[in-house]
Amino acid sequence: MIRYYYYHIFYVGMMNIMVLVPYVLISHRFDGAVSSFPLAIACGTLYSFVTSSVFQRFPGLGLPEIYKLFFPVWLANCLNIIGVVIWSSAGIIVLFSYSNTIGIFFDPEASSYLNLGIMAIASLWAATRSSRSVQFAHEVLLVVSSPIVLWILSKALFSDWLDWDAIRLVAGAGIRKPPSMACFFAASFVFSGHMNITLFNRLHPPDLKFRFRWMIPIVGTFFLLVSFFVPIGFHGTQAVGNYLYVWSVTTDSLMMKYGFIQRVLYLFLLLYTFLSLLFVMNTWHTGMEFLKACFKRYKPLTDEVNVPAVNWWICSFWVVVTFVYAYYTNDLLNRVVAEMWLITHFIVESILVFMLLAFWYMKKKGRMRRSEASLAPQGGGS
Amino acid sequence: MTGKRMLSCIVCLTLLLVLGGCQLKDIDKRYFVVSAGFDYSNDPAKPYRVTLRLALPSSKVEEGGAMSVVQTVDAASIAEAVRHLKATVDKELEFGHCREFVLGKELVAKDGIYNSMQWLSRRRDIQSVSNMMIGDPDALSVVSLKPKSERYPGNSLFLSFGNEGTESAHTVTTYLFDLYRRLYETGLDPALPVASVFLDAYKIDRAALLDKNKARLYLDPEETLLFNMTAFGVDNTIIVLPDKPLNIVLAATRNTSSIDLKGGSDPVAVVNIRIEGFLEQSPPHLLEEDWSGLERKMAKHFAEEAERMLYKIRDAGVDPYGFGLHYLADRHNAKGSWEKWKSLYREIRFDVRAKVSIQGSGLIR
Amino acid sequence: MIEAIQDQLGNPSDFTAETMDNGYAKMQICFFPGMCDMDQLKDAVIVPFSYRFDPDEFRRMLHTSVAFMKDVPANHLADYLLKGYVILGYEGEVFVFRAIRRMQTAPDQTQVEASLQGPQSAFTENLDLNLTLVRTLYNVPDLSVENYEPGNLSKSKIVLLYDRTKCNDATLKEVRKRLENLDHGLLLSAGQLAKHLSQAKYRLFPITQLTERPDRLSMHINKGKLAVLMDGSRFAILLPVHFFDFMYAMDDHYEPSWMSNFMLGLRYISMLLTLTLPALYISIVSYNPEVFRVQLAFTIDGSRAAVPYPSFIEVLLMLFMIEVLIEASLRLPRAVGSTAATVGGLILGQAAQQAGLVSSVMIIVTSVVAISNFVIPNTTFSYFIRILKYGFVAVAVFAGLVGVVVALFMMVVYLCNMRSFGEPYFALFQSKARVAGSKNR
Repeated sequence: MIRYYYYHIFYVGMMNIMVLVPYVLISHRFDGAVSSFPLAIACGTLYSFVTSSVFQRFPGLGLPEIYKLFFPVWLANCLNIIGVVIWSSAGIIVLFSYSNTIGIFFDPEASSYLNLGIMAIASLWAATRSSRSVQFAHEVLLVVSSPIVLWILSKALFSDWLDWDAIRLVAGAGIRKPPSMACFFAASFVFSGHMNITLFNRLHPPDLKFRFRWMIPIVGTFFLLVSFFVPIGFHGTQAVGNYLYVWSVTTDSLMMKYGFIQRVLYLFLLLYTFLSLLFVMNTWHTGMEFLKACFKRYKPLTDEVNVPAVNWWICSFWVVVTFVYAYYTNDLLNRVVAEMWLITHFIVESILVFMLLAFWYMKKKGRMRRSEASLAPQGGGS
Repeated sequence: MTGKRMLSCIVCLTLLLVLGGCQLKDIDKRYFVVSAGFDYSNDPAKPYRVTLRLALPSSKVEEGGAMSVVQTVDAASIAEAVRHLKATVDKELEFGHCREFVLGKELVAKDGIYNSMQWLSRRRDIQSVSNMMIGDPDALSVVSLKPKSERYPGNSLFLSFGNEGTESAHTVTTYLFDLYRRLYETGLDPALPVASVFLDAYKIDRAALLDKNKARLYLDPEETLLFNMTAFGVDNTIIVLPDKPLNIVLAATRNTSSIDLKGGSDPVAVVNIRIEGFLEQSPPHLLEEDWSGLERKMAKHFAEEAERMLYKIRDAGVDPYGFGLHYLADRHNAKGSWEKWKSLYREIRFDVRAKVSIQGSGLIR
Repeated sequence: MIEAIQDQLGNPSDFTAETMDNGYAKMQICFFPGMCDMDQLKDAVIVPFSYRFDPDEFRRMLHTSVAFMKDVPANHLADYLLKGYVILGYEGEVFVFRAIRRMQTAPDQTQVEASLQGPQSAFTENLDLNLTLVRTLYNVPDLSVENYEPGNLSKSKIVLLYDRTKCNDATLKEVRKRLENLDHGLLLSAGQLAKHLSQAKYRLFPITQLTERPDRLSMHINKGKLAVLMDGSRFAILLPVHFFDFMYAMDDHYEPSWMSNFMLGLRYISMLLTLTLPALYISIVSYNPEVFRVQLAFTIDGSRAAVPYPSFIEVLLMLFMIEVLIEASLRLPRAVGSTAATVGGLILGQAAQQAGLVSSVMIIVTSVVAISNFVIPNTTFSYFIRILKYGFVAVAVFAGLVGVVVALFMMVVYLCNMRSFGEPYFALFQSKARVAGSKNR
């Protein structure tokens, strides 16, 4: 069961490309991107360790349930709402920027709302499923697509056209600059896969041991360095700043001589369709469950057979918000929003980590308002 | 429940119908552009002459069966020219399979490559791995040539590059993304192959070295070979050692090169190159007499030739090897180092450290 | 007694009701001659009653032999008669004697799930024989057999099989409930029963598996799952099943593992091909010809030069043709069937391409789709895939390649959301966890 935890770590590492993390980092490549990496790695690793240790102390409980253990209802609900905003807005940003990418590279003349529409319908439908189904789907798609993504990455890493001098220059120059805050926030997103445990801890059995945690810094560092340095190696220290969808252009610089699809770009985009939908599914589902936890009548279920209507309403609302967002925003604005989201995300994450430490302490002292068993989610139900 | 589900399905389907459906554009309603050329027209109002070669579909794929048409138009910019060309053809132009872009020699000399590159790098449907080249004397002649051996349109030119078809050591391969990178990079300058029409075929055995915009130096075929080996480490080349009555020729099968800067404040630019290969042409029993001596002699000769070419490149004021970038990376891009390098490069000394290892005499008996 | 039964049955002409008199005693006998085994009847009843009659012995035989049932309620007698029992009235008492004619005495040959080197015997339409087949292959005392007799018109006996020690209680309870609640006009085949058991009508994938192979059933039960057998059907229902179960042929367990793994991979690839190839063709031709390599684009472009209508009409036309062809050759007599295939497949395909009605690439696509579909070892499953491919075609018409990928995503989520009798239908690496889970329970 522990593998589900690492799936999240792994795919958030791959997904950083789609929330414009490389773009933010590369735009600061000469002033403090590189020097913020060690900080982000240390911080991200620490946070992952803290969250996993704390949640191990609360087996089978999601974050909303833990709030209810310690806080009065109104405070728990407020905190839940913050979670809802952070999670669902992440899905909306990714959905918008990815459908834009797809539109640009696949069909520049088509209406951008068509791609947004079909992807929104798919994510709406996927996000309304039960938590366990979401987890299964996550596993299947990740197992299928990550080997190919890794293959593309390694193809890029070992390409003759990768200019190591440019990488050396940026690394050498960047590490001597004071770290930049924006880059620190962006880089630490790569490690934030552990945040998914806030909901999916509901599915964890009581005897779960978080083994192999040393993998977290390794995986995160790998994806962070690759997603930052490989585009620089391909496009040079200067030209790389001219691209918005920098990874799409980077994969376009690769070629599969013998493949059915010759442009790696298309393979990459098709794979990232899976990963982006997965991301939106996860974030919207988490947001939905957090929102549902605010209702009094709500009983957390992880494996309900029939989808309750409220799921549809909540997720449809997000689809509507996505369309409204798409109507009023553009690529440039989305970039700013994404950057702001990265900052907010990190701040919320930090607050959460400190709260979790407090919860840990309070549990040791036995200061709980309710019993754990009364809040534990049920499996089935109708 | 099923009724509701049916209803929502129908709603979704109609939504899809409204949104899409009309975007279907069949393959037979599209013209595939297989190569494009940009020339300078000498008309100040419409300086760009854009030539597109469009593939015509044929149901039989055979040698010489490739059919294509060539369209040319003059306009104030490339984008306008392409828009204008759309009006003269009956199908949608599709650049997705266009991988050859020819820049006319005159265009490069007068207008530079910068403006053309702006259009090329903005079109998302143009592949980043498109081959870029300079057309001599102009792009039109290169683009409009229809070689008899082509199986499908544009194939012949496309196969000349990289190691797709022929692996010619005289052909410098420059992809669009690489050219774009070199256009902006400090301390790394563009290099482009020069294509011209020779009988019923393309001749791509020279290279042009550019500063950030215009051509500074055209290398002749021998220099191009040396340049290709030292800068790109191209395999399958030859080294010639002049000898009487017959030159000694080494067919190099493996070739690795790297650049480096040695010495602190007054650096020497070092090009390391390792060449492995077989003797393809030599007097009998030459190898047995003095194996390592021959290796040394070939290396020395190669180094001399290469250094001569390097000084020529240096004197033209361009840096296609990226010595400048290497210098900056060594200095961590410290302040003022770029200015220092610019003055250093004018006077820099080159040291080609070639190591030739002969794998065998090439004799079968 | 005879009159009462005759009244109830409406005195059909294939019914025999007699009063036999051997000079010492009288016996009433009624049965359906067509449904009874006459030899058995003669040996067990007629001979002792007529040639070697001894009143004491005969009475003793009727009362002690397990073959004769006494004290059957009068209103059930007609039911027994209809199943092929014989009813005897002797000295004021009523006995029911089991003399059902068995059509089959030997196991069938496998027809649907042929195997090269595995066992060749298949289930028959006789329930008792089927149970024997299962018992011989799965010869453990833990095998439980539960009888169900639904209150419907055909009243075929239904048997639930499972291994007591291995089976999952929650699933068992669920299946029992559904079997008890069965009531439907005519229950004619296991496939129909499976449909009723899985309840939801518009599911895109089957959640039960039909098999004619006793070895597959035994293996299934050994995994702690359930099986349902039905009298009069030569197929057993296996449940719960996983998505992956449908891709196994029994040969995979008997052949070298390199070979079976290779075949397994082949089947998954074929399934993907048959699902997506027509959709991909539409998206390449109509939306994104630049995605695939340049040679392919030119080849398709050239071959489509003469085709007068858009790609999706071409695809639908050819798919229609191939479906019709398959359907036609399925029900034709074997001798005519091959002619139909030749005419349809070869001549029509060739001619359609030469006439410029479809492109030659499309002919290849169509045949690959058809052939790949037959690679899927399970017939029910391959039917579902056959239908599903039209969904992909529809998406491709509206949204091109991106639509196909999004539809694939939705299919995966759909599969992951499915549960077969409470067990996840499409989840990787689950088997071990499940076995451990059921042991804890």
